[in-house]
Amino acid sequence: MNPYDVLGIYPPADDAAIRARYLELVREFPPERHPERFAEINRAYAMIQDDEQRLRHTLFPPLPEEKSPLEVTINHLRKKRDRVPMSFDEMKLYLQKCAMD
Amino acid sequence: MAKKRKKKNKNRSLPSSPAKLEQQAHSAVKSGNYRQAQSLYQVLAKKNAEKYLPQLISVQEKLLTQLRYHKKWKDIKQLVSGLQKNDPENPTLLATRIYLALSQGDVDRAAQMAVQSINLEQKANSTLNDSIADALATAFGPSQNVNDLPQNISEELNRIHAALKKISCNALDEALAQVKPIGLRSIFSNWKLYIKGVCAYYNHEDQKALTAFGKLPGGTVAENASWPFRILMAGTKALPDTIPASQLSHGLCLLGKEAETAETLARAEYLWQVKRYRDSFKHLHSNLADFPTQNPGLNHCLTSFYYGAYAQIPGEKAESYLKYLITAAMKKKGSHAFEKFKATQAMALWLEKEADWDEEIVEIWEEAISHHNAIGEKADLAAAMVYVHMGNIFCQEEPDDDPFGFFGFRRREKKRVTLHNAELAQTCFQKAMAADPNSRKAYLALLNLYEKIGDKRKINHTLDRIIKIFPDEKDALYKAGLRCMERNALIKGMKYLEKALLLDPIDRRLRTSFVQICIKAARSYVLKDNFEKCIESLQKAESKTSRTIDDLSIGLPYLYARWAIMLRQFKGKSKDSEQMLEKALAACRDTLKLHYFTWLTARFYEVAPKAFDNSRKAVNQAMAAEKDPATGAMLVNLLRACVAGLDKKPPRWLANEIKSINEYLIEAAKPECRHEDAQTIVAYAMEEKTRDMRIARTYIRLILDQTPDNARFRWFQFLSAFTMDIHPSQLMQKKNELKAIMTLAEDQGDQEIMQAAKQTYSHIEGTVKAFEEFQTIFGKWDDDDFFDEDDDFFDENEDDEDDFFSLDSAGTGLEMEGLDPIKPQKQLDLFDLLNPKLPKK
Repeated sequence: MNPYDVLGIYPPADDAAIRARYLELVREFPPERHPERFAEINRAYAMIQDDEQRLRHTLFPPLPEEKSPLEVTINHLRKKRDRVPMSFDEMKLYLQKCAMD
Repeated sequence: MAKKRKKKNKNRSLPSSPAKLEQQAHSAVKSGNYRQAQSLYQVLAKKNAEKYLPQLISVQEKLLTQLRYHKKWKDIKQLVSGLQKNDPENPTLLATRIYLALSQGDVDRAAQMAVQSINLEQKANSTLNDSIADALATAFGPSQNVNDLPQNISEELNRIHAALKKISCNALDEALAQVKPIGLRSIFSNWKLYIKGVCAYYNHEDQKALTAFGKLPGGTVAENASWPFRILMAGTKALPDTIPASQLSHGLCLLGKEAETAETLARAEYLWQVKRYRDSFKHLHSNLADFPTQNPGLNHCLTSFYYGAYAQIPGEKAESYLKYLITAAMKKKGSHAFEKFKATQAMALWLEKEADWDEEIVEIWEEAISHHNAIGEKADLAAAMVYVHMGNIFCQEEPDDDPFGFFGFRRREKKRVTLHNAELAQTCFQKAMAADPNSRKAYLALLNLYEKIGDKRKINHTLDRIIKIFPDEKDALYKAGLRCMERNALIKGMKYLEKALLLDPIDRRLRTSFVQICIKAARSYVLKDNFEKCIESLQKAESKTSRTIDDLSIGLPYLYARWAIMLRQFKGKSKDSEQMLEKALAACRDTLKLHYFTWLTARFYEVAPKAFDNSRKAVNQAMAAEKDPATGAMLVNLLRACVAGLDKKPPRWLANEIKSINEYLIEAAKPECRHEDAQTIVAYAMEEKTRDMRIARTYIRLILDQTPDNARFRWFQFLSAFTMDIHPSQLMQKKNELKAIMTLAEDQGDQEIMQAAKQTYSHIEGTVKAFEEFQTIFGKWDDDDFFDEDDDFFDENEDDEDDFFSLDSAGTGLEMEGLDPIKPQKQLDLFDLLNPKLPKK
């Protein structure tokens, strides 16, 4: 799990920014309705909540849970909060690629 | 050759009679084996084309659909030419030809064929309609073919393209408005569903999107195009087995706005799947400009993955993979400190888990730190953190792998802790403190190391340093307090604990220790005949006790009882003592318990037995009344607390007391005994200092008669039997017993018993193995080989033969510790102060 990806906030964000983001997410994913997501957010926050934790995370990163590069990609893309449509050219390319598969 | 043989076999296997052939072809169709059915109908069609050609065409249609589903385009090509001869205008054939063109990326030809198929105005089926729609929808460019389309189809096609354009401009409502007029019967109905799903996806209406996508028919372009969306919403679990996720990597990257990674990722994924880990890394390394990177985004996630993936690569391959990462980093021109840091860090982390080369681990970590310093701030903090991390690894306890420890051969030896590399651990902690003199973790880790090796001088020295640098370190103050208590520096210890309590007034552990040290001090003032100081100490203790907690240390009634006993030891304070005992009785919930506690404590404080005669009378009265296990359990709980700190044989009065309580317990054994009471009694009866196996067996039987499958009592039964009949040859039977207990404990959710039984099971396994090896070398044993009277293993003064397999023998895994929910509380004041030293000033 990449805690930055889970919280959707990236370095050089400071303690206050990370906490604000965490609280925002906790409000959006309360434990009663999203228990798994809530637990994941909590875990992520604990990993990077202050300078020391962030340094610890850099020095001793958790082992990846994914089993392949594609799984990493899928997990990363799934955590993206903004869904921006493809341009028309990209869409054409996308559909034609899908037609070939 | 193989092909020829196959053909020969096939011909041989074909039955000659048309009826038989037809029957076989029919059953092949039924079982979905269209290839075999096709072969059979081909033979039949040669004999009677009029009768069997339609059936052959039908089977070929089905086979085409099946092959297309599995995307076997080569086979499809062959089949298409066969079907072309038999039925050139077959709709499935036409659809397949369109899809074949699409699969080759020839969008224009596909569109041309689609237009031709529409204009043929002949028998269309849904597959043909889907293929026409797919071909037209994916042919975006201006095409002459489109002009030849019927007006309604041309109009709908324009709507589909317009909607897709609107989506790309994020005008989702307008996109939906465009496709609204397209009806369910339109050939573009699938595309309408697709557009609805896509709009719902971008509107974050996942359920709606998944419903729309779920209605798309299999094998269509719209369905293919829907999968990346579905994976991003519902994960790969949503994907059917027939579609490998790797096939969608390109689409996923485009959809996730990671187009530049798309091609590279597909290849890297393939290489990873075929276990070419180094090549997979190499592919990304040479094709992505920003890899490895610490900048946020997909490449950073991939970086974390590749540098942490050593854990999922087996043994030697992992080592060569990591070596490659280091080589790749070092080869690069320029600094590339991040890449060097990640590569050395990964190697260090791997070595920690896989190898025993301590010095090499330190060396590689130091290299990693030097690279980290080039990219990050807080170099000192990072170095300290890494040294503490290494130190903690080196001061881990080594497992005790002595198989004969199971039989208690080493039971008289004091259990010594073997650390992995204490010397190097100490060096690491000291380096951490040098790197960051304010590293609290380094100091605490060093303290932990000294505690493990039991070096009292170093412990005290380190504690002093910690308290000086970190005066708010509660744990250090607590530990310093305890150490002072141990060496009777009571005033100093009290001060440490008081400071700790200021930091955390409700910490029960601190309160307990503080009350204990105050009682200890008061008791020493009694011996010094210093009344004021004694009362002062007791008053200090009183401030940290509780009326509501039934605890022998911090429970207020028990403090008052001690107070009363101490008052009795000062001349002329008998009245005060009586009043204090009244106060204690008024504050307590269980007067019998308090009376018994008072009597026992008074005996230990060496107060004349008559002084608390009333308390004894109250206990005697209760014991003379109807016997019941609950009272028995309460009494033994106090007795256990008394003997817990005793390191020598109990004094005579206590031995007599134990004897009389044991008689009471035997008489109190009744079927209505509660499980928790029985458990307390059994635990007491199986303890070395109060052991009476007659009581233990009685209560175990009592519970097992009512609930024969109670895992906890079956475990107790196992333990009680183990002392009597154990012999190496019976270990197999013991293993089976343990297996049954483990199953029951699992069913009953009793984790404690599960763990204890499991641990014992593995001990037995180790022992059996050791004995087998022993047998192989020295031949079969008899009892004398092991239980020789002159055996040096045993203490000459051993007076209890049954004690060979003592239940409390060290390292057997059979200890009661951890299984007893009501552990005896250590009564420092009951035993330690028989001859206390005076407090230091």
